[in-house]
Amino acid sequence: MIQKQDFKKISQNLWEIPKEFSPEMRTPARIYASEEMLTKILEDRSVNQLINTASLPGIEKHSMAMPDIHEGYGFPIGGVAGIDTKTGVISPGGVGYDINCGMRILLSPLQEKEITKYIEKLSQEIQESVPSGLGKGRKTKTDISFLNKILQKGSQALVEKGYGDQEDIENCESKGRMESADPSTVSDRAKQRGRDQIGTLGSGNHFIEIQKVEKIFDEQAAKEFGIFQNQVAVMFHTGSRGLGHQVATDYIKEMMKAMNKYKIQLPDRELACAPFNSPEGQRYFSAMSAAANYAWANRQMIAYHIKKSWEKTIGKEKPTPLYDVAHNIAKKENHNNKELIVHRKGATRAFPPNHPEIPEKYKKKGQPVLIPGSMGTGSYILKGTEQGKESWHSTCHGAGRAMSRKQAIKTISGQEIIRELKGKGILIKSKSNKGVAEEAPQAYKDIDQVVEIVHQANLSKKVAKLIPLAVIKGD
Amino acid sequence: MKYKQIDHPADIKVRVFGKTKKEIFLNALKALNDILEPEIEEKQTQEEIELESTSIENLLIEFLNEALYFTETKKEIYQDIDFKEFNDEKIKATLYGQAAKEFKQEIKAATYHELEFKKQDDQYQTTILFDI
Repeated sequence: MIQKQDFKKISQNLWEIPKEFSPEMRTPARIYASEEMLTKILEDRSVNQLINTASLPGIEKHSMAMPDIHEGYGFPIGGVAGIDTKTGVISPGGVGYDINCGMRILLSPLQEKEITKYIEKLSQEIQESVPSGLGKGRKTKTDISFLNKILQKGSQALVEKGYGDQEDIENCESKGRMESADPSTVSDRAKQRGRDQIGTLGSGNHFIEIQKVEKIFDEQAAKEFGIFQNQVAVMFHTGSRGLGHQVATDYIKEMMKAMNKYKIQLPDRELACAPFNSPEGQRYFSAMSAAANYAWANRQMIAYHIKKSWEKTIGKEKPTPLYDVAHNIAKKENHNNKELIVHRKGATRAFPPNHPEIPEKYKKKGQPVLIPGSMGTGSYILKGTEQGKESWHSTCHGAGRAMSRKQAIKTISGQEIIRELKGKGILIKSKSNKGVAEEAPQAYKDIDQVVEIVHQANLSKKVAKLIPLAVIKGD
Repeated sequence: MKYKQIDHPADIKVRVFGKTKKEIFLNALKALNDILEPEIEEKQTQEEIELESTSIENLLIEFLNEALYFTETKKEIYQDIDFKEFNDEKIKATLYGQAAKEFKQEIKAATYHELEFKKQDDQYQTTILFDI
């Protein structure tokens, strides 16, 4: 049982388990959290998982966790590990099953008062045009040759076909395409699962929200990002769907065998990994990149349908993309003149001003970072900072669960939540009361507190807060 | 008891019981089905499976992910297993089930997280974490 005494306090919101704590640790493990949050974090097994993460061969500096850390499997959710590509490993368990699950936000040129009367209709239209639910696909199946193109080129493949504009590509992490993708490393099974799911939301905590800008913290950055008070925006959360789940399943199985071959021993099977430069490691990286491209294409198609729905109900002045970020991914990045494979599982990349990999128009202020809160609460837009280098330029990804789904269903009424939120002027579109209870605000940590920690720790800085007007839940 | 659900902050964890290893496979499949909350239709279905793995634990997870793959792509749910061949590293079987109109819960995968097969008082048990 890990206790608070086992931690060394590094600064106000940074805690460390020293390397000496366990013989398996190759580096210390660090958590960004307030003292109060740390007490809560110790209630589940997430710190054990962070300690396990510190045992991965080639890990540099520390295993790290963001303040929204909670228990997952393999890595904790909110976990970050930078691993030397020359000497270290790549672990599918450090990315998870929903490869490139992430966020995108579209900003409209309109204020809340200009669209109030259209909210119901717009939500309805979006709900009808973006299918949700397990394995729920679109009516038409993409042919395999176009699917391969999507795996290769990500959202660029869709834009070339008319499902978007050049600005969608520009304003997206990695321009919506990881060059390392190789469709031949993705199994036929994964491809079959992906054929009818481009442009689908999925279920669980996936959502589309119509929001308004409630507060601006950084006037200058907001201006550069095109954000203004009371502005209406559409934010959504989804990933690579069944295709990504299958890629993870296929490669965790393969890594399990590779572990014996490379004589790697780890405290949890779910951390299964292979040297980054081994055939198994490279194949996984190519397949994961392809699944990441699929996720960007999925979000691109959803953005296309949102814009269509907007056009149909409100008309002109469609929303345009601010940015799109991944929060379950492993990427090759240069940090301190070393190439690392940075695993972010429930963590968001937050590059600083002037970083070569961010769009020209954000160079002055830093990369926009999108952090959703729980259903019916606020979401944040932040910006990357220079000081973020201590976390490999990573920040939090959301509120983080505080209550199990089982507990939530037992103690919270979905219908009551819908009524409560309606009272606050928030419309909930969901086919499942149980799903609403699972995702109730009470089941999550307080997003304001989580964001405050990364803001104070300078991992990323607050630009604006948005609150929902309508939520279309993945059922 | 075939299985019981254990609290987990984000996903679904179940402890599965069985007098034999075969029963563990059957009860784990039952847990998977119950989590999915399918809307079952009358049409009967069956699926042949054949898997090889490195241990009974890994075989169980790969078996569940195999069933999950067919469940999602064919919209079917499997309630019974006819084992043709079964040992710690191999399973050859026919899965019997029914078509399903839809599922209320999505499962991304069965995970290998802290997986362990234990035998206690003549009964096997194992804990499985499903990523949902």
